[in-house]
Amino acid sequence: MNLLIELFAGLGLEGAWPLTFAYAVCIGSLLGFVTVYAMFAIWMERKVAAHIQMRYGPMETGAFHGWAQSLADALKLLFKEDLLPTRANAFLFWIAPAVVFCGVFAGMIVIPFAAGIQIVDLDLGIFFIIAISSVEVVGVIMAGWASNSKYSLFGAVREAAQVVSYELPAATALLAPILIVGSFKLGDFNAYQAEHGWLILANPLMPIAALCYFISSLAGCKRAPFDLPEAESELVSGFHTEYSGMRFSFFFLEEYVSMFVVSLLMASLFFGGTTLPFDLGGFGNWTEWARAETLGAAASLANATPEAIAAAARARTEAGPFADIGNLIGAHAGLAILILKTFFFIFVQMWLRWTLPRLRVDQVMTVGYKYLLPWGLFAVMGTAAWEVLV
Amino acid sequence: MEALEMYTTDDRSDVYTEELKLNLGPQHPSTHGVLRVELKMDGEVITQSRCDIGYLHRCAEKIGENVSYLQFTPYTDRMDYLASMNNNLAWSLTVEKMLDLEVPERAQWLRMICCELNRIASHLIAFGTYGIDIGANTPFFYAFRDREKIMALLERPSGTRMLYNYIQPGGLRRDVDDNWVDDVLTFCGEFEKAWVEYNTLLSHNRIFIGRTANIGIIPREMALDFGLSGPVLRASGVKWDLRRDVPYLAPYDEVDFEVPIGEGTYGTLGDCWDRYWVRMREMMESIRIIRQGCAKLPGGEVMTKKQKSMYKTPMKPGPGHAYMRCENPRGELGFYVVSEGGASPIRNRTRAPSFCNLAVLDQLLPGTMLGDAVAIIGSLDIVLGEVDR
Amino acid sequence: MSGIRDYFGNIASALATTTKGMRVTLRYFTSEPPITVMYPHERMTLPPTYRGMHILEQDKCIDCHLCAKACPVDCIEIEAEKHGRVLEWKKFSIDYKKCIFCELCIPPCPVDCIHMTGEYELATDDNGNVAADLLMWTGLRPEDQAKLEGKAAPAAKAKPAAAGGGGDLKDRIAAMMAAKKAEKGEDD
Repeated sequence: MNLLIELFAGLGLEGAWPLTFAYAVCIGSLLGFVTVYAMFAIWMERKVAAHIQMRYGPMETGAFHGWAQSLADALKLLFKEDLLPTRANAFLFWIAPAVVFCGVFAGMIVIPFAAGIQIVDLDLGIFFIIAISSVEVVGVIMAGWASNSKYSLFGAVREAAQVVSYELPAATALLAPILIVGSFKLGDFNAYQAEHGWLILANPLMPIAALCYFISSLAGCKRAPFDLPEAESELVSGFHTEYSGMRFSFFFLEEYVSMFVVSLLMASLFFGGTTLPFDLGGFGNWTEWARAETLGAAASLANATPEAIAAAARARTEAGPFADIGNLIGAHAGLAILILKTFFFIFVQMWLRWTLPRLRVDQVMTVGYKYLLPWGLFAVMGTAAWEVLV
Repeated sequence: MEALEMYTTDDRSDVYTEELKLNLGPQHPSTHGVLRVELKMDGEVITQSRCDIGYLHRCAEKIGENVSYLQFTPYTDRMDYLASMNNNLAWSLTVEKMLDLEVPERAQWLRMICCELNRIASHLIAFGTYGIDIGANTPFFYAFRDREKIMALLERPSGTRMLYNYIQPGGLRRDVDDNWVDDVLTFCGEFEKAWVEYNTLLSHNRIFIGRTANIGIIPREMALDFGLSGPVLRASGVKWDLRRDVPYLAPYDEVDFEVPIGEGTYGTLGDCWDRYWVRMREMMESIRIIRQGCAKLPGGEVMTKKQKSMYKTPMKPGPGHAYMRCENPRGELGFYVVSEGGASPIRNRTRAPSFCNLAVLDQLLPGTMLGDAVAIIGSLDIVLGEVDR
Repeated sequence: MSGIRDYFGNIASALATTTKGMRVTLRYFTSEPPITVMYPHERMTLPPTYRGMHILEQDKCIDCHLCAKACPVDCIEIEAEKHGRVLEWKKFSIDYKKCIFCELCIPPCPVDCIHMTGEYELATDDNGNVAADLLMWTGLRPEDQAKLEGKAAPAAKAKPAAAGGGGDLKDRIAAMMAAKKAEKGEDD
């Protein structure tokens, strides 16, 4: 992002324009990425579901296994009639999908896709993601209420209870890696794991924390087995029953984007992010390059200390004459590894959805408060104790 | 009413709440047909329920007074459309009783095999759709893979995949082809493996047990008071199966099978899990029956020449009445026919098992939550075709 | 203490049964091939007894109306005029809006001239034109005309169906369906 600001400043724009244009490009590309990703994820979900269920899934649209199905669906949704139920609250009905989508989308601005490819590197990285994703609850309640339908209201109320409750165990479980690394910044997790290996192996309680976070995030994304708010067989479609066309697709996008964010956090915080657990000899050292790249990126931050910049420069020199090419490959390899890990977790989420039945609403609350929260706390305290004693 | 007490506070004077009237159905993904249940709810908990049926009423009993006995057979298919063979059997047995017809032995054995195959097919749908009601969408597809095999097997003698019109008064429409018995036995082997998988995937899943155990408990007395039958009755601990206790088809006496009853394995006796598990075990018992039937199948014809002539001239029983009942996958199906000597009966009454089983729903729902309501309706395994006729 | 035992038991059984279930679905995902028949690119094979659209061997039919009387929904309409032994055909239609494909019209036929074929693709978008006429010709054919006028029947055409029941039923039906398709080009 700073690069972009420099780029635009270099083109001769002054004042606030470079920043504005930089933001525009970043948000635009992120939006583009999100849309393409959502289309791919929906296709992937349908294919995963189909092959688990011994059938093919989309095959006709697009020559290779119906790859264009999502595109066709998106076009169809664009052309659909925009319905408003009788006596529905038009303003809330209109604004709810926007609130829901923006809440989750805003969380993506702190995500480091790779070193240097990050829109803003906030000090409060993880905290910001958790906080801003909660905004979607307001949108869901608005959607359920404004639809003027009892089924939607049911879905909205259940969803509010569920998502808000599960933020507790999710945030608590996330405290464990935060304790170890000592920072909220997502870039730092990458750097730490490049040095010390994957965080899930850091101490015996980390797998518990990872599992707690994963299950809580399933509930936060309203995925099975916690998909009550959209419990199809009970509530038709839950809080988004009355929505059609593009408004409905906003809810759909929101579900898949939050799956992406959650999987990415899982991959970055517990499973190494852009690093591999082992060093690849021969071709030079990927993790070395990733580390060098990460440290190099740290130098480009506005609040980096001169010592850090000097250290980064030294690291760059030590990396060798092929460092720049190496860094480039390393950065892209890192991005590819991160994306692969993310998609693995997305696959696991889909796998769980098509295997497990749904929990009833009071059982959801029980699991959240009586099982996940205590174990999350236990994991955090145990990690703290481990850090002190070991 | 335990859930209601559990989830409400004692002092509610400062909180303004309203009773919510919710309509479950007639168009609903989980009501197994066009059933409407009016619910009065306090938040998530149901306080009162009332069933409203009749959306699938097609005047079958009245039509029965205007068509001949043989012509009514396809109408019986369409009552419980998931267990057509069993319906045809009940009707054919009633007509045979009225007319005092003798059915060849091979026909009786093939009738038993076809009815048991259809029982498995019907229970597979109950299993699959129950999974969907609870939220597990995948077992449905596995169940339908096995159901496809059964439908292909039953398609060969009858000519169609559902609504067979194969068991007719006097015997069967036609004989099975030469490889049919071997293919049935192959299917039995494959199904036994699939059954183990269903249990791994759904039956013993902790979440499924959490959703179905201790839900919708029908005590033994309530089951007998409401005249329930079939797996619903047996899950409450009553060992009553018409195939054993009121034998209506001679081959059932010559095969060895168990009548599974509920045991309260994961919760209380007579809860939803017990009903589901009785159906699962009944599928395995049906496989046992089919294997023995195929081994002991006699040769011979499947419809006597006298019966065949009744295709051309409608049968006219003397004045009188007859009632025959059979063990359908859903319970006890009975046909009561009154004749005054004409080609059609003057009264044709169907005692449908789902209609009687549905009566207990208004007793079970109050005090449960909406998710439980869906689980309870699914566990009763009703088919609206025979509730409404 | 049973509460604590239940608590940990719940966790253990939840994790155990979930992973077992996930193993089953993973096995299906990775190794079981889909069993879908990709209609309309592939079609299922039907047994010879399949109950599809009817077909009439018109030269055998004796206009006895037994099939129409046997039908539970009264969907067969037959109209023919008898000239001694020769039939002048007007109509033999089955209303497929009423037909329930129950096959009760097949056994009563004394000359075994009506059959059900494997034709199941009967969907149409024309709501009025769903009664299918099964006749292959209407009125009198030249040979019928000749019979009426007492002339000797013309040299028998190479129709295997004419020689008393010769030819397999399946082949007869197949030959008639092929002839019908060639005539009409499309099914109605």
